[in-house]
Amino acid sequence: MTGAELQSLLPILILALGATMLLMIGAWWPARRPLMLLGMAIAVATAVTAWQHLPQLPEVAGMFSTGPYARFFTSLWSLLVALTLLLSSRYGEERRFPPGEYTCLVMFAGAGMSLLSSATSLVGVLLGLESFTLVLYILIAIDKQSLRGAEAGLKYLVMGLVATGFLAFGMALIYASCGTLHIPEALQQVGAGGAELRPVGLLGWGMLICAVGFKVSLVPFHLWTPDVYQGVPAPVGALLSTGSKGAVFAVLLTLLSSLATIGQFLIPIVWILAAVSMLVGTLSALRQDNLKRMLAYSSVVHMGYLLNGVLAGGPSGRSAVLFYIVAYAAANLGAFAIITSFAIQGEEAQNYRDLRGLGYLHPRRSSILAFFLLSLAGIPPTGGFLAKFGVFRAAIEADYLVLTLVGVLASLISLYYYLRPVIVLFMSKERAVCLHPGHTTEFAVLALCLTATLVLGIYPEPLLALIHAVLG
Amino acid sequence: MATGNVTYYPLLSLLLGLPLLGTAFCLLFRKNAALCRWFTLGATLVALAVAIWCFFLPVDVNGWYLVEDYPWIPQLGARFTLAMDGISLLMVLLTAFLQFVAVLISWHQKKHPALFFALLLLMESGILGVFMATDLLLFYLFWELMLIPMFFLIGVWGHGRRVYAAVKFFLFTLAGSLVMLLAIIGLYLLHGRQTGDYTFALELLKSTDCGSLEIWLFAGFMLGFLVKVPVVPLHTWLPDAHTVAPGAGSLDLAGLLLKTGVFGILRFAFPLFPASAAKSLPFLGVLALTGLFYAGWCAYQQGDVKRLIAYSSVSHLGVIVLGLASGSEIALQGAILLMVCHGLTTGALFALTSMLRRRTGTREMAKLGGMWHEAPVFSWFFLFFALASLGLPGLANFSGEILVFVGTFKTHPWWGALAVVGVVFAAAYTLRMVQGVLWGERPPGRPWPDLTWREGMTLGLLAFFTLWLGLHPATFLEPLQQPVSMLLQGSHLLAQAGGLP
Repeated sequence: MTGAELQSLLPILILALGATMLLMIGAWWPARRPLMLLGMAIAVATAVTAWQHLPQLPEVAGMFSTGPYARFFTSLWSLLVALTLLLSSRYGEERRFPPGEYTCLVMFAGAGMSLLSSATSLVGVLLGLESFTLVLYILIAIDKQSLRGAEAGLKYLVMGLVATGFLAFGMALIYASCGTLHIPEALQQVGAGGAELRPVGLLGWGMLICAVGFKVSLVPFHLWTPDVYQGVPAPVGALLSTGSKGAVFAVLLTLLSSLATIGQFLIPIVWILAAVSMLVGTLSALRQDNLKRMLAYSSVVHMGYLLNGVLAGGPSGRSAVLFYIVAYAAANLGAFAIITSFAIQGEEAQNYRDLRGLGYLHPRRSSILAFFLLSLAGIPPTGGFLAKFGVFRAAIEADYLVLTLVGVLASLISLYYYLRPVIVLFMSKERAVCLHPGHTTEFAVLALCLTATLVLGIYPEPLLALIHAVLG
Repeated sequence: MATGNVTYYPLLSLLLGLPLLGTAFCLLFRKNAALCRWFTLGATLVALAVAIWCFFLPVDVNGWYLVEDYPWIPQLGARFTLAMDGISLLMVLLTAFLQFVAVLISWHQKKHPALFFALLLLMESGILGVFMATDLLLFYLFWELMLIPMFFLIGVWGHGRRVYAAVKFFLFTLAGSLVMLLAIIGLYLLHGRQTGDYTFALELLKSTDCGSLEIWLFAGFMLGFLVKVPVVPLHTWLPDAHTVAPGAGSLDLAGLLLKTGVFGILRFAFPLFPASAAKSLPFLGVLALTGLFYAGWCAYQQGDVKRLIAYSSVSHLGVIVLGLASGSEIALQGAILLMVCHGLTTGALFALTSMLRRRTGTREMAKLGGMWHEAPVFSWFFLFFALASLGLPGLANFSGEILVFVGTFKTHPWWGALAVVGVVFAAAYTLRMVQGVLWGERPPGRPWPDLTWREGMTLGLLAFFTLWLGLHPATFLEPLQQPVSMLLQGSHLLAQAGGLP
């Protein structure tokens, strides 16, 4: 690698090298809180660097872009890593997470997500995707005493391997047909019909979408989601449910940027995936009595909405997807932060019956949870509303009217399952027992997520302007 | 966009901000119930004072009292635009006044008082926003903002099947709103494609040529509003919500939330889609008459006083919608006046019902009776507002109803004739309620105390305005003249056939 290339990848290098350094330090000085705080500081530094950075090259090794789009996501995922580490400090202490390893893995996950979001070549996609999934296999099962955690880790591993198989095979087929792995050229070749083996190429693209479907849990590839969400330690869940999905969507936006040229073959597949995800996810979520499982199915539905935006494409579709990723990340991270802050010794109050009447025992956190759930449901004045508004607007603009109607129907029904925890918290007669009073670090994360969700709902102008600049 | 008066005080933002400030205050000082109560009362009182101040401001040529306009989300073309014309002025006055009353009647709220008042104020902010916003996205934001506090007021402080009623309320209104949101997006995109200017400003969107889509967009808007009104096939959430809601919740629901539906039709649906609106009038008239009779009949069947008043509310809203559908200027003025009157009288009846329940522990007419001897002051007020509600001349509802009937007679004599028969229905169920509560044998049990001075004062205030509206409605009709005639002429809704010009 040349110096210019290294300079261009600087933000991600800071994160990855910082992670390695912390792993080393952790081997000799296994102090959990200081290491996590140090990791947080490095992640924040990465975010700032990515923000201010002027890379010398627009693309590194033909695999990763260093443009504003890539740097936007690098910043976002670094911030997410910082928040996850901040959130894990009490939880990790109580559950005795291995200090160096945990911090290092979370940071590696962030680096992987950033790489994935900035991929411009299919090799880059594979590298990015695998580097953070590999980390997540470990992170999900990092709580050695938790049986559910081990189960979740194994499930994620098996499903992840299947997805990797699909991805690699798809890439091979695309390469066979186009002779290139660089996304813009590959798209152009397939689109122009210049590829000699066009059907093979399209099959490759189809398999690629299946692999992506596994990672972001679109129906019918979603079956792992509820079990994994239920078993994963809540802080890791925060990372898994926001970053890993958002990063895949970031690259999906690149992959399908010229969906119209690939054309008739892929659009119906994506259309069906979006519609089925919204409907099946909604109906499955209705039956849940466990907050984390409900959030799992709700994430399936949200991925369906996001696919709406990807499908719509164009400037408004792309900007809607970016806005949605941020708004969804803020609300979902917040919800997992609440679960974390209620947890005593890793025992999370997931079932609705544990939450009964909690609104009067822990009024602040309960109302904040209600606020996040309303944001996920898309009720103003939360960020979730404007996010959903943007996606629907883009979809109508691109004439996907039926899909929008499905989306509206799904959001109407979804209200019911988002309100159920709220009802349990505030409107049930019986009282649950007091949960953990919460820790300052957790409150800090909550305050940030709350502010972000509220500001995005009332005054989204700065973020929209930033997204506009990023998308150029 | 109309200019309005350039004042250096952002009065409209102040109106919105005061209740929000109160909400924040109540949440911060939630440990101190008395402080929250007084602060809430103060906030509503100041809001009322500001609303009354607006009443004395001059009007500009386009009928606006005040206009405020700030940039909000330039990327989407949404602006923070608030405006007040005669119609919204009356609605804002009603809102500010009824919220003040709502605080007074829930003075003894024991269950989480600070939270209760915080939600009450948050709802006031949402309702005021709905009445003042002239940017469609901003309007939608306030429109949904009203729902959340009401959901909690019913669900937390209600009696009986409160959760069921709260969820039903939320789902029904949200279903309508989401369809409306689709219509808003559709209109926004159409306008943007035609002019290249993507905007949510009401005045600009009026010039959109919707072509064959117009009827669908209009239907989307109307569905959102008609669920809230509610007209008859969409009304089932209302009796359930009223039955369980706390006193102040019912007062707000009947007095204000229902009015937002009618207001939305007048402010958005009719002016945006005049051609479809004109075509829909006969259909609307049929819906109105159906509601008038069906709800009246339902009211007659009820044993629960509060449920009876809830159905009577649906019936009265039928008269209001009839005024909209008749296409006559007088009837429309009457309909808007009736909105104010109905807010006062029905609001007062709901307040009385909650006082009744606090004394007797029941609202079943079978278990009530003999109030007249036991609690004369209470009974006098009850009789007074019941008579006002059935349309006794000289009291509030009469002045509105008579205008609606006169106007309807001019354009659609048969509708008018039928609607007048509806008054007989109103008399039947109202008198049955009065008879059941005030007269007859008193059931055995503890004595029922009469009104306290605070309750008496609150009701006296309501009675004063009921009399004013009945005896001299011109005060409140005057601001309506210009906006109503502009609405009708601007959108060609004046009835083309039948009756006199």
